[in-house]
Amino acid sequence: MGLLTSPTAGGSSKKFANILIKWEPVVSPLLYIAGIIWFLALAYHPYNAGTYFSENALLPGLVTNEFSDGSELARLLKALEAEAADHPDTVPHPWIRAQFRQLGLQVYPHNFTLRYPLGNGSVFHGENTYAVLRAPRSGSTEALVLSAPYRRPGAPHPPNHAAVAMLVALAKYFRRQVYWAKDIVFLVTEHEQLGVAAWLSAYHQQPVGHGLLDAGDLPGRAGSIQAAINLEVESATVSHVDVLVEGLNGQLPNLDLVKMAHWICHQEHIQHTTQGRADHPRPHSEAGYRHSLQTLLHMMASQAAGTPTGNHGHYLRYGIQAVTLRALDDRAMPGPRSGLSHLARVLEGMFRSLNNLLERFHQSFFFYLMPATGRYISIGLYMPPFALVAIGIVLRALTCWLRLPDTDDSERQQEAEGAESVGKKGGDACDRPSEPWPLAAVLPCVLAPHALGAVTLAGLVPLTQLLAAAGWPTERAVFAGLLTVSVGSLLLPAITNRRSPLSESGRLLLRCVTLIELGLLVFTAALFNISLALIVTTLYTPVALSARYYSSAPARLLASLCLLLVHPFTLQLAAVALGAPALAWRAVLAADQRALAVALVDSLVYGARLLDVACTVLLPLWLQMWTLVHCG
Amino acid sequence: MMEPLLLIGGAFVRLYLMHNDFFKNLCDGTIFSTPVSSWKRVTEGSYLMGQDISPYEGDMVHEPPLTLLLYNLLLQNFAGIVPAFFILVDLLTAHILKRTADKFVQKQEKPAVRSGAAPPSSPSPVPLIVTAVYLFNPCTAVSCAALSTAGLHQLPLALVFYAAVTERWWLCLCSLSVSCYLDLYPVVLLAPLLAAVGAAGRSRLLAALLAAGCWAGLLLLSAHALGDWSFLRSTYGFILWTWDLSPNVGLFWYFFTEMFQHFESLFIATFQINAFIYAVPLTLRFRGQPVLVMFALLVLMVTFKSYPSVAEAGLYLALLPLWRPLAPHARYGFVVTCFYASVMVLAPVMWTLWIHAGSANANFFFAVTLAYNAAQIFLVTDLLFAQLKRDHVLTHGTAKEVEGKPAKLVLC
Repeated sequence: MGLLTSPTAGGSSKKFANILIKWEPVVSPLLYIAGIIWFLALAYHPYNAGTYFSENALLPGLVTNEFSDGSELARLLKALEAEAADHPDTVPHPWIRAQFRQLGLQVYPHNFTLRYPLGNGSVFHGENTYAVLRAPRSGSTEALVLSAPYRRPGAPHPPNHAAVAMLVALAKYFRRQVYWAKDIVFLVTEHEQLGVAAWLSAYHQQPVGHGLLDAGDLPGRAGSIQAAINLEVESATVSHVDVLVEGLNGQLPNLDLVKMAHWICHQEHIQHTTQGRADHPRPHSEAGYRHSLQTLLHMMASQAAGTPTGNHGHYLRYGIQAVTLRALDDRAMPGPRSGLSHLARVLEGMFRSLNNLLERFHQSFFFYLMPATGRYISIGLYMPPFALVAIGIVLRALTCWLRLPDTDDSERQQEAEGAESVGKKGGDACDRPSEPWPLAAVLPCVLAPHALGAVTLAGLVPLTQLLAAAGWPTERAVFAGLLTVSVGSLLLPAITNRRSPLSESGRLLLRCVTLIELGLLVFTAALFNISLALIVTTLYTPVALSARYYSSAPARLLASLCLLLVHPFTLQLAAVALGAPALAWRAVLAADQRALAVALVDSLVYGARLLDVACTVLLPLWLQMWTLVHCG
Repeated sequence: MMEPLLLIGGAFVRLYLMHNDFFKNLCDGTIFSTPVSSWKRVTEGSYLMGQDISPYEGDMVHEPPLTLLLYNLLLQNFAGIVPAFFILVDLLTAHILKRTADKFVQKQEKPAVRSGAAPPSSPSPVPLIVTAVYLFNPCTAVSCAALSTAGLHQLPLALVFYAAVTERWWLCLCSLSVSCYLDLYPVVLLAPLLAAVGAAGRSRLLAALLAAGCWAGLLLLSAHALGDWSFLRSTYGFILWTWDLSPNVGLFWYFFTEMFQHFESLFIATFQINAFIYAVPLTLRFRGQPVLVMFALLVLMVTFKSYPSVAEAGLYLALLPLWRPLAPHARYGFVVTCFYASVMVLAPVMWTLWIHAGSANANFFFAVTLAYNAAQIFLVTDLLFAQLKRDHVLTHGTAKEVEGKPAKLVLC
């Protein structure tokens, strides 16, 4: 290591910095627009890729599926419907268990309890039934799961008796086959997602939900679960099967499993869809592009929400690959209708294929987006346009850093020169910065919003309990709490600014810190949930780039308005309004209150992270930008 | 007055982390505890000792005998206060670091104040920043919550720095021996210390003998306590030959999982030599600044050791504010800061995606550890080069011109 004084190198990095500072305001918006266009173009058929089987062991559809006992299936369905009509308030567990026991399967009950954390706090009990078909050809080291939620008459979702009946019929058929190398677990759950979450928690003895969900223990187990299929059948005739993939926090199952579901449906001549949308017959045409773009955006919207679209979503967090098959009879869907035995053959094909697995699913893709049933956009394809959309944030942070006044200013240089005569040690005193470190002034502007965010998140549950005593419903309490914080925190710049107004370099540093944190947030989020990350980045990049102090009042007002439009609270309201069937403000407000309460419960019980991140990272970031606009 | 507040705050943060499910899950990862610093292994060793089995017979325990005996004592008699013990150790380290920074800053100021060139200024904020960085750094806080024994390893190291700054050579060399006894790698700090001892007019030979004697005494004591020397293989042998390739933030595991057995010893030697080889050249080049060399060697040691954990990064990150005077000459401040920030966020994320969610793979995590180590190298080269530039400016003035043209100091 040595020193070189290079005359040619003189100012070259300064030159680079000057070029960057000069052109960055032009380049960043251009890259942002280019990124969005590039991403939208990915939905076009030639720009994405066809799904394929990466795992050769699956060997899907090499055998002829043989299930043919349609009459038995119809008999079981009829019997179950009669049973359900007789016991409208309970789950007919005795009937279900008797059916499985008759087949010679090992049948177990599973009880769980949820202590509802919000409001007055109430206790819910639930019961699952599961039956294990032991593999004749191996020693219970691996297992597959076929699950179906039982829905009582009058539940918000359509009844699912046909799926439960199909479980029994398939168990009867599978029982007679000799080729099983993995245990098969037939699981009938109660209370929708709660039942599956509790069963999985008990199966893996991994507590979830901060002690709120008492999952208990299981009396019997099969091997390590390799894959799971969750079944929802809404009617006895099937127009199409929708393959649902989005799991908790936007996690997706392995693409091989998804491809297999579509492939076997295709082989059995059942119409199959993704996001409830069939493929366009001419994907190369303009209409075809628009169709697949809409499918893609549907998938992104549902992935971004971070809540599972079906019960399969909870398997994913244990590393178990799972999908939900939802069979519907949709009048609007053209084409022939299939019977239940058709659907049973699809499941038979899937399980025989999964039975071939030699290892856990590890090939193919875990990060992808689907614009059509047979097409996918892999992480390698969507990351570059995403990076273009987000790169403006990083570039602006860099230019803010470069524009920070050089601490190596001329005055101190002269002092240093003067110190030369004093001796080497004497120069040290001059190296102490003359003005106070801007970091010290910036720190409160960063720490205060983060502390506020953390307190907000931690305070929501006690707040609902407190207000419940005053007779407020939980939903309104959560809404009121978040609204108060959102509105009240608008005054934060006034408080942090009053004691020590930020200097010019302090503002630049705050911008730099804010942009770096935002960049970190979106790039990290892109690894978990690309849809959410892309939506947040698309909305936040323009405001983050323009968030600074404007001396003219109208510009400041405009910047404030733009910021208010992307406030996490506003965004949440907008998302609910977009999903609402009609735009009556009262209905939207009620739906928003419900959505917030559900998000809080999801976060507490299931470990959904959307609300946590919004409160502890996004809200503070927004407040820092708000401070930037109002720190004059 | 601020310091007790900081210490209390640090203790509360650690207590909170110890009782938070989210961080408990995070801690099971090897980011925060490696085979040599894992608390689970210590409890295993303590149990084996209770059964009258030598803890070093299996391949589980790699804690040196004397600390293992200490932990055993704690676990047998006062199991409830183990978390409090680790918190206390961290607070003590933070306090020592503050005293170090106090003295260091005082020494920097003194000549100018004495000569009247500068008025005695208000107390520097640097010591408090040092304490705050050590206490509230997620690296140290989460490691402490994970009861990583690396926290205890930092105590003698901090003491080495303190004694070097205050020029208490006896204390310095003894705590260095303790540190070497615990971890082996800190032996590299001997080079700058011996140079400093020589510069202070003391005998270098005597100092080296003192350090070696103290170290040998600890080893003899261990052998006496255990009755045999089998612990050497499980502690130093395990560190040097790197038998355990479970993932950590270091450079070894990924490389050696893909290594043919035939070449293993060659490349182990090549990798290990990196941790030691810089000691002498850096000492020679930066003769007047033993603390700077010790700092640089500490960073290099954390980068190149076989089982690094982020707890060790916590120590040098805390000492970083001491080099504030070099900041105007540093070039990569932005890059290094961004690297560190992104690594701190991405390492647990990639770990979760790989181990818990099962959707990513080893390459994701390895990419982050590579970035982390690159950041450490950037930091240390930038710092040393800034020192060279500053020396140059102080002796030659700041006119950076060559033959009338503006010039620039570059690294070559």
